[in-house]
Amino acid sequence: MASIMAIYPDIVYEILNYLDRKDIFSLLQTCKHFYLPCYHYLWKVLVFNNDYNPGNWYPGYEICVSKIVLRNLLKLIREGNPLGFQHTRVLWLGRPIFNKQLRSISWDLRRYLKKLLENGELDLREAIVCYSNEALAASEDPQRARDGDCMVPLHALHKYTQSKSIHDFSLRVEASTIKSFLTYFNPELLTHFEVSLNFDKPGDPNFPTTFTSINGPMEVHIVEFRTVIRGMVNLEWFSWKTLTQAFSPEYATVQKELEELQAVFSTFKKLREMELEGYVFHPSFFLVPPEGVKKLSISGVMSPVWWKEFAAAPLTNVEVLDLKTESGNPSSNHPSVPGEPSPENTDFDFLIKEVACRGLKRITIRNHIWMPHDLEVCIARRNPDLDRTLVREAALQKAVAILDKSIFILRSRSRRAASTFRGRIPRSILEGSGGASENTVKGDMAQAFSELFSTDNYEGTSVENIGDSIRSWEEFGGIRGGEREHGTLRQLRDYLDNCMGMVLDKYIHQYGNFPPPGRSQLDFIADCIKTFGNRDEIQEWAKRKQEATWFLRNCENKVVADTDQLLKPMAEELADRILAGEILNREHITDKLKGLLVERFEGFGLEGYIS
Amino acid sequence: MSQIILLSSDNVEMKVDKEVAERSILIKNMLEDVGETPDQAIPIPNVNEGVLRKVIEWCEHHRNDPPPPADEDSDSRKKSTDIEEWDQKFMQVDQEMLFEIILAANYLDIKPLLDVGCKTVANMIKGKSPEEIRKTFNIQNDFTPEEEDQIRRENEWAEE
Repeated sequence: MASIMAIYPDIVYEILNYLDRKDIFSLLQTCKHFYLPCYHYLWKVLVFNNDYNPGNWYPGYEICVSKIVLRNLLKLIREGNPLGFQHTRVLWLGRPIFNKQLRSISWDLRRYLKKLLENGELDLREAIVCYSNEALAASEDPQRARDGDCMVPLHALHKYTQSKSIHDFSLRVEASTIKSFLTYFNPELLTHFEVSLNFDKPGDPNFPTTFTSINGPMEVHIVEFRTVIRGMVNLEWFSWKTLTQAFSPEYATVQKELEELQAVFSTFKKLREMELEGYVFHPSFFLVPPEGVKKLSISGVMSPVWWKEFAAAPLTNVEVLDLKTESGNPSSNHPSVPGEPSPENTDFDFLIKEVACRGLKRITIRNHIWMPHDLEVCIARRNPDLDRTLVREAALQKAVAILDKSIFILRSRSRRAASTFRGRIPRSILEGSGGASENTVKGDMAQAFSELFSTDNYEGTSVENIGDSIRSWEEFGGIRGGEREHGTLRQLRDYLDNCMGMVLDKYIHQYGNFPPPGRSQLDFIADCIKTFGNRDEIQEWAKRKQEATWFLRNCENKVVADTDQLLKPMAEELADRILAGEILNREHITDKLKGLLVERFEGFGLEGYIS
Repeated sequence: MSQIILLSSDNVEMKVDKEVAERSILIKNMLEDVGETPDQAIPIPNVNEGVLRKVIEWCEHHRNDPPPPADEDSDSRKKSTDIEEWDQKFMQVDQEMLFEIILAANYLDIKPLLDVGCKTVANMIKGKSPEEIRKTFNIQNDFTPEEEDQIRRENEWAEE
């Protein structure tokens, strides 16, 4: 019968895929059966990296080595131990190799790697390199002699790869600069390339760009970028991230260079996966993916012109499409596109009407800000193989985005309505309901609230304004500032507070605003003194006022809670309508939601008061 | 639905839905080569009755699973060791059976079953010392003390 010893090396490798370095080391020590597979596995991919995993290459692989691991390794090297470098097929030169913080370790490791590469002691199939701006800058700085050799292993690697062809060796490069790129890399060997750019402010001498070798206008950078990537004919995976969008040239000024860049991309016959993130040179520049691309991810700021180009692109082999727009405040303006032809309608609700792509199988669409309204339905109509649950999910996301905007509007209305209402006291609160049931008072209030909520009419005074107005008057006769915390005094003060509040309400009721025209602070004090004796009336008023305040708070809370409850069923309904091709009218949706919310006030005695 | 007959190494015949048996890429390719559903039993010489029944049970339960994405190359990619509930229960067998299943899955080319088996073993190894691993799997330490010393020294960089 089988024991673990029956598991042969091929399957042991499968198991090791699920273990981390430490567990593999434990297994390696158990017996001879496991020693060699584990030893080979530990050395096969030699990683000098932190936890950055560009493009999720080697997903889930333990890509991070700590300082301690590096130090231990270096100790063994210095002691002259025979190590497993001859088994290494993949060498990952990540940040720690170029890192200043690990100076003493990385310095020696760099030298050692150089020796291994030059002496032909490594038999590599692949190298993964972090080409960082910092390391490059350090190597070029004569002041930092000891850091100056940052690029030593890259020089050695470059020499090592000179005799290699794409059939026996490939490079994956993660770059934060393209300066001197061709000095270190043979572009033909690159299969994976992730580049993050930071343009700072090109053209401005005070902000020298760190991304390319020349400081100048955007055109210059595009040209240099093109020169660098032109030779990458074996590229399979490409990611382009821009970190800032500080600078937006007019389309006309960069159009020629972008077209030339496009031409280079069209020559990448082997490219299968393309990822564009951020502000890719221009919000109207739709980089047409080369024909072989199967997976396309785009996120960033896109203009309506961009969307038109997107819609017209056949995306011949694209099966997986991932679109995400830059999020922003719902009220912010559309990304402006100066000096270029505007589509018929640059509104939020612009349409593409048709897409040219036919072969999509999976899509994700996120954020829905500045996206064509009919994007999902156009894509769904023309792509019969598309996973329907994903289409539905995209439509639902869009519905939620639309509703979120309505809810945002309605919640702020509710807040403003309640605030305005507190300053515009209905008669029943002032005078009591005259023996009628409490519901009459609530009815008055609910009506007033829902009227305010529906009409959007918030003219007049809100409580916040009253507070300011009172503060603008002087302190009242030292009573507020009384130092003796005497029980009677405190009660008297509360009572006086209420008295003032009631007079205040009467003023607002009578004059419609506060402070009232033609009345002075002295008049107000005189009226307070006159009212002060009506103890029962004041107490009655205070009670009603407190109830009213609670009631209002409930109204506000109800709007919040109800919108949460309404959101899901409404989003489902809207998603259906989006997929049916309906162009949703956002105002109608807000109105409908508002209607539903007002209906739900019934529980507060609103029957008969809804218009 | 058409059925086929599998013949275990200890000469026991088992009738299986074709669709279920085709979870095994080996059998699937074999059937494709033959062209039509064969009348005779297909011999599975490396797998005995008990193990074959267990493997078929797994294939029955997973008969409708979508095929794994083809473009995902699997070389040296570490994945999560999470196992879905049914598979966890399925793998609650003695070690002999566990390894027999793994070997059978490998032979019959049923990648998802092999993955579940490997994950199960990986979970039994995780976080254990060498001695604990030996105990778990009843492994005989065949290193001399000197060898052990040297191995530990040369590889301790990976221990952290």
